[in-house]
Amino acid sequence: MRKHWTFVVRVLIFSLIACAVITIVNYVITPKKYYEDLWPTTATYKGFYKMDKDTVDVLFLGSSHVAAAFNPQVIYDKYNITSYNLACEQQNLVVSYYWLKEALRYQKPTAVVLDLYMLYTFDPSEPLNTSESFTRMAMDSMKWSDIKWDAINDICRLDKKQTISSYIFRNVRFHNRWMELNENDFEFVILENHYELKGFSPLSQRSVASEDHEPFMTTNPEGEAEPEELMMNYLDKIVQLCDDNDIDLILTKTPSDSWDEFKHNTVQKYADKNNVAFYDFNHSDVYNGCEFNWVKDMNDNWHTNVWGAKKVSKYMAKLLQEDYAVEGREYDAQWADTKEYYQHIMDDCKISNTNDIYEYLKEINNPRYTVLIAAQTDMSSCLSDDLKKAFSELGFDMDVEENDSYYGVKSDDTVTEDAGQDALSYVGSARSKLVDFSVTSQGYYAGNACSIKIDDVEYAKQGNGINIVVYCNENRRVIDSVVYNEYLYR
Amino acid sequence: MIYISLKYYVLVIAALILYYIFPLKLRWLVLFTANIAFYAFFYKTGWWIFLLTVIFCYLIGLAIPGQKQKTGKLTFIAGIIGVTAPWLIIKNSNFVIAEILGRDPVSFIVPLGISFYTLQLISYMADVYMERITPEKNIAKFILFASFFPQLLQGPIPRYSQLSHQLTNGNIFDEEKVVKGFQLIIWGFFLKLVIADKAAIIVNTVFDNYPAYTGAYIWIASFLYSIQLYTDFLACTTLARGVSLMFGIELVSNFERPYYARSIKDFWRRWHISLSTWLRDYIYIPLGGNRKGKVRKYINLLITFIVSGIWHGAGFKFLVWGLLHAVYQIIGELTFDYRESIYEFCGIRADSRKKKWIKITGTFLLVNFAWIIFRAETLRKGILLITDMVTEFNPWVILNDRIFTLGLAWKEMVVLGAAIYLFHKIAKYQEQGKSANDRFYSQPMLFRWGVYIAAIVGIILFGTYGFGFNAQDFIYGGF
Repeated sequence: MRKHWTFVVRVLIFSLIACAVITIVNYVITPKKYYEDLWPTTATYKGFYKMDKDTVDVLFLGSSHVAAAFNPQVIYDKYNITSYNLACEQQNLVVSYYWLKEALRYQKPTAVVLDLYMLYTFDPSEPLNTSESFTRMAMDSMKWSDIKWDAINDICRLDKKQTISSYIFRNVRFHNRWMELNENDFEFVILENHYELKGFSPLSQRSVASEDHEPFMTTNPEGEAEPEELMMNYLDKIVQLCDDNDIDLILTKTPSDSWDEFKHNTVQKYADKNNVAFYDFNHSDVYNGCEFNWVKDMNDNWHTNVWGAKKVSKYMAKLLQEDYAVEGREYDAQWADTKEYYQHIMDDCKISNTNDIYEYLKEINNPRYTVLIAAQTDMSSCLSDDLKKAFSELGFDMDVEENDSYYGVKSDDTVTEDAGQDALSYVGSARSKLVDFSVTSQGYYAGNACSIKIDDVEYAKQGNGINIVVYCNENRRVIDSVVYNEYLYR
Repeated sequence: MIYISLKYYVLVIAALILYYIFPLKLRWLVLFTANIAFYAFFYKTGWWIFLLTVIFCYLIGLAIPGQKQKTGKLTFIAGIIGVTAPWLIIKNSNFVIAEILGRDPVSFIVPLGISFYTLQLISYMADVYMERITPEKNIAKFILFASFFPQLLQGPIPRYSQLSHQLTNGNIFDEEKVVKGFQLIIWGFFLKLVIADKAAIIVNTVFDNYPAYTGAYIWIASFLYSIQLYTDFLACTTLARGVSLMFGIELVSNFERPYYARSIKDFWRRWHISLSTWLRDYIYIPLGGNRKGKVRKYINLLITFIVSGIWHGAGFKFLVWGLLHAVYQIIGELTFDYRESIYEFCGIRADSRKKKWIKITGTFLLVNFAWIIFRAETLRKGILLITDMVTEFNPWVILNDRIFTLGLAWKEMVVLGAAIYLFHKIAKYQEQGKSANDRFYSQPMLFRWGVYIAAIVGIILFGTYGFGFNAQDFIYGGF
């Protein structure tokens, strides 16, 4: 009998070890997005759980439009309001509802700001209006509780191609990802500690959005758009949930080209009927009220850039403070301590919009960056003495003759460069040998080409002149790729 | 998919715990209850057809002994007709209705595993009739024999004398058997998910899109189909053997490395052994076997393989597939001396490895051609596929990247190749008469644990299942 019991104990120990290993493997293969990604969904949700209990006053929910538009750091710096942006890519209202429910287990917000872009048809082929993969990513980040159980039951009921078992055993959904695993999949413990921006996605493009965009004014108040029935049901649930928890719900629509007056009217009527506020940043009243400039403040035609986000965030924060009595806090280290990190991000964003090469070289002269330079055709014509001097401050000699090939790399405070008439190439690594890169340069007589690859991905603009790629060691991503031609135009 | 589903293994674990908790004499009741639970979970329709057939067979079994010879024979024939009728109607009538009479097929309720349990019950009645066994008097124990859940749907087809006492006597706990059963289950999952279902992706792409793919594509797909069919069927019987062994019940082995066979006759000694021996014992030998001269032997062979073809499915392609195997054997026997003289002429010694591999390769190619007809949608398509294989010349598709357009990326191809290689190595080891299962069990525990976990993780990652895949049912599960 004793022999039998030792067998049972061995079976239990083996089962525990096997379960632990399978759990880790399943976590590794689950797709994750951290701060190196434009839309750091995983970091947003994992970070939320790390916030001190009952310290968040305002929550933002919605799609990527919201993730790019509301900046909790700006809101805290300006108004001392503590907020967290729980938006993510293609967040439909089912996900918004369950994440709000989940958030209320940990925080007691005074107000919730909800964007309604997904109230209308976004992806008609999807039962939940948005792509399954984004719903998965948001839900996979949620801790197990009865709320998650209800959520996945609801999602699987609505979307027949999803299964409850695949949420429990994630290998059912993601096992084929073994072919595409990368550093982030294994470094999740470290990366989940980076949620400094609290869900905000800083986008840096400027002057890309349509120049002839105008905010709309109310011209046809009777015109209405048809919302998605399922989304409308979940909007009702959100309204009810906020009502039950004594939370001020504020409906909004961030600046976006895919919004119009009819959609606005429908939401406005809904808001009036349910006695909730609605602020539409596409309507001329609000648009002009926050002094929005479409070309300067939009990253593209749908998302605000960091400068646009500043305006939208400040406008909303002011409303929250003045109309909703969200008082803010004297000091909270969770927001105060991330100010410096936010400033770094702003510096990164500025770099990709700097045209003047002298100013550019000053900005990239920072140990946070790995700088990779490759000449194509001839770069000597660009190099005045002043410019050489500016480069020398970065550590590059730039000792090139006419039509020479040239490459230069500044990584971990070490500068490597070479010039000559033959084709040149260099292979190295940055971030303590964790990321590899290769730089090749072919001057006029060596083939007229160049390449700057990081982790085997080509980033060089491959134009004639000085090609520069700036990789941010801290955020693990390329923050700018530029070519300066002989007239020093970007 | 039942035998690789989570729900099934929850049932198995619960049944195992209860089985070894119960007193020895009552353990068969746990198996009986587990069978009922199995039916409740997985057997939504047609269970009553199965139950009525089993009860009918039980009564026939009780009625045969003690009767006069003539009456006993009539009872036995009535039993055969009664047990075979549901299978004939359900599995074969649509062939007559649709293919021969040209009318719309009828939608029948199909009890799972009908082809398997029909043969099992026929063998029981025949054994009772021939007084090889005494009939089971306890109806519950008989139902347990007829419905033992791990092997019900896909075999191996058991004999009463081999299985019944193992089910009803109760087995004492034996750690070795439980662990070896567990090892077989892991191996079964590996065969099914990492080899069979991965190969199926390419096989389905080529076979289902004919005539888009010709020549080398069909060669590749047909080889992979041979591997898929074997590993798929081997997987389901391995899983059945693994689960049974955990209860202390040893099921017969259904395969003995059939693709190492050196002749078609040898192939049928190694392939689906429980069916081959059934056909031998209940069709071929009763017809006279090889005892009544060569011509009669060949006729018996043709009849046996026609029955085998009909058992595998209704349709001309299955008939032709069965006949082809009979013809292979007849020609093989008629040309034996001639072929031996060719070997001698070429200077290939009788016991040389060269001869062995020539024979193995030749047998495999013949089996492979027959599998093409077996897999093709219709007999006509099967013949066209074989014609295209030998008339279309496009070997470059193997050398350039075209092969990666058949549904598997190169990394998955590497996994499939490595898995087939591992399977081949283990088969070679077994071919020496050794048991890989025994050898592995004799390794130190921590080493085994490491390999178990690595195997489980490997199957989880490299298996073909889940979102984005059409999980393949066991091929023989449809029979």
